[in-house]
Amino acid sequence: MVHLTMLFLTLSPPNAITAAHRDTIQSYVQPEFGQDWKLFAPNPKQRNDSIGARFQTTENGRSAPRPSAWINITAQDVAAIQGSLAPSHVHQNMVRRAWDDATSGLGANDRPTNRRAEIQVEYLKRIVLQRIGREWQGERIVGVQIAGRYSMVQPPSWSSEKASDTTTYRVLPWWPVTDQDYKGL
Amino acid sequence: MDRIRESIARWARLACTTRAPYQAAVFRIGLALVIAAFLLREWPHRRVLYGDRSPLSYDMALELGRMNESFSLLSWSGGRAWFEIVYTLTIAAALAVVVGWRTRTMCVVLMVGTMSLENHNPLTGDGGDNIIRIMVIYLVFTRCAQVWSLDARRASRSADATHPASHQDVTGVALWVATGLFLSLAFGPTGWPLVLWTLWGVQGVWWAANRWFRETEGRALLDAGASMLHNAAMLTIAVQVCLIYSTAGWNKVQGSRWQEGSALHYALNLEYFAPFPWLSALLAANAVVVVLLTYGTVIVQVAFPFTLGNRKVKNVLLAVMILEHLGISVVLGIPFLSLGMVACDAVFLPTAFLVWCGARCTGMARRALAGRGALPKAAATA
Repeated sequence: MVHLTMLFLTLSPPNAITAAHRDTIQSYVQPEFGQDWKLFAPNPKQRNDSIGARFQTTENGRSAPRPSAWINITAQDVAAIQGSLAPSHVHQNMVRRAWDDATSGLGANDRPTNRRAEIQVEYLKRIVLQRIGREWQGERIVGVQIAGRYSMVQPPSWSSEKASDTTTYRVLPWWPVTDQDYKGL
Repeated sequence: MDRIRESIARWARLACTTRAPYQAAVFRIGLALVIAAFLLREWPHRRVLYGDRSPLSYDMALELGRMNESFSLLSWSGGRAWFEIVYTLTIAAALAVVVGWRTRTMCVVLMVGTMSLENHNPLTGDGGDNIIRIMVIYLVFTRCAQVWSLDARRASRSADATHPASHQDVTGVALWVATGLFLSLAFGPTGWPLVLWTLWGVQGVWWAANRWFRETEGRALLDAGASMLHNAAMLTIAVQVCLIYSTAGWNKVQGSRWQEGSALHYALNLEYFAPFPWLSALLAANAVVVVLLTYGTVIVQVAFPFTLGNRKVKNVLLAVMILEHLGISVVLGIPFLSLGMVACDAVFLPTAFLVWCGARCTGMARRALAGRGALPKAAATA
């Protein structure tokens, strides 16, 4: 009974009881019974996020670093998902969630706001580096820049809503890459 | 006065007998199958997702685990060997739970294994992982192996046998000693380990009661206690499922896209959830279908908890929901979330239907085995 009341209170909208006892409820429910069932609610996502990256590379560390072309990581994910009855978390969740988590933890000047955000940023960076490897087109990677391209899903044809063909970008700053970043990958 | 006393006694009897054994069994089989299938599917990616090659390095995972105050066996060592042991053991436990072999112990192993993996990298999960993680905890407290399990078969055999040798149960004792040794080497007596120690102790007491005090009041008391716990756990599972549908449903009611009936259109146009783009396009192309399915989803989710009072309506709605989950599993490419929900829905299936399914399944299995002549007659009819 206590358990079910606690669950109800975490899932209910903020109210007088949750306001007074928020910490008690949270410490009971988290982490084992933490839950969020707002999948596709209140509204489904209406935007496709494509995560891409480009790299700064040098030839044996002698030449000046130069940027590569953009590589679409999401396109690789989507290619792996298509035709699969059971897509892997690696393709369906890893980059998608890492991007959401990392960008939500960034503050002014795209710097992580706390230690958790730092870990999330490091995680996103390492996912991208793991996909690409230590070198890009024969040259050593010394920097990485990650960005998201947000394209709105077109409303259905019967809708009176005007088709917004806006595509926006969220470009994160360049981050240095060292051997340390590849540890354990 | 007598009437009141009588009704209290009846309620107590109801509470102290194991309710819904078939529902518990189908829930156990369904949930463990989903976990086993998920872990086997991720086998090629296991080290990247949860293991020694994860972009969430051992140190990062450790720090995140401390922030979340979560429990994971994988925090003991970042090495590959330990990870492989935990991963493989979890799969083995899942399969053992499916067939109902030493279910009480294996459910605990499955819970610890699943929690360890999910908690080690919480940044890559989705709703499916969330359902699995919560339900596997509830499963531990159910008597889910009373039917359709190797345990049940063993119990009925040893009940038939008259000689005491059939009560010896060497495997059970060995398992109990092994888990006890593991616990004493591994843990102090606080937090989750305390829960595990308690479960271990109860298992020992129960075995002793069955071995030496079969006809005593003490054993009857333990039996009633276990039944009550089972009933409470089954109720918790049922309410949890209702909470899931209610939260999902009531939040959708407030969404403009669900109100105008276009939500499905948007969901079908998300790249990450379109394993078969032609199928998504086919569905999204028909405006009437999109609106009907969008409204239908919300109505069913909001209505479900309220239909539990009426058997017939509940069963119809249940069938609709299971079919929708199966559809979603393919169209949106989220099979483990959808099938996990189907396993949870199964808790509400009527007993008569489950018994009928069980009979059909054993009948089919027997015919298949007899057809191949794989088993001698005695075994096939056992």
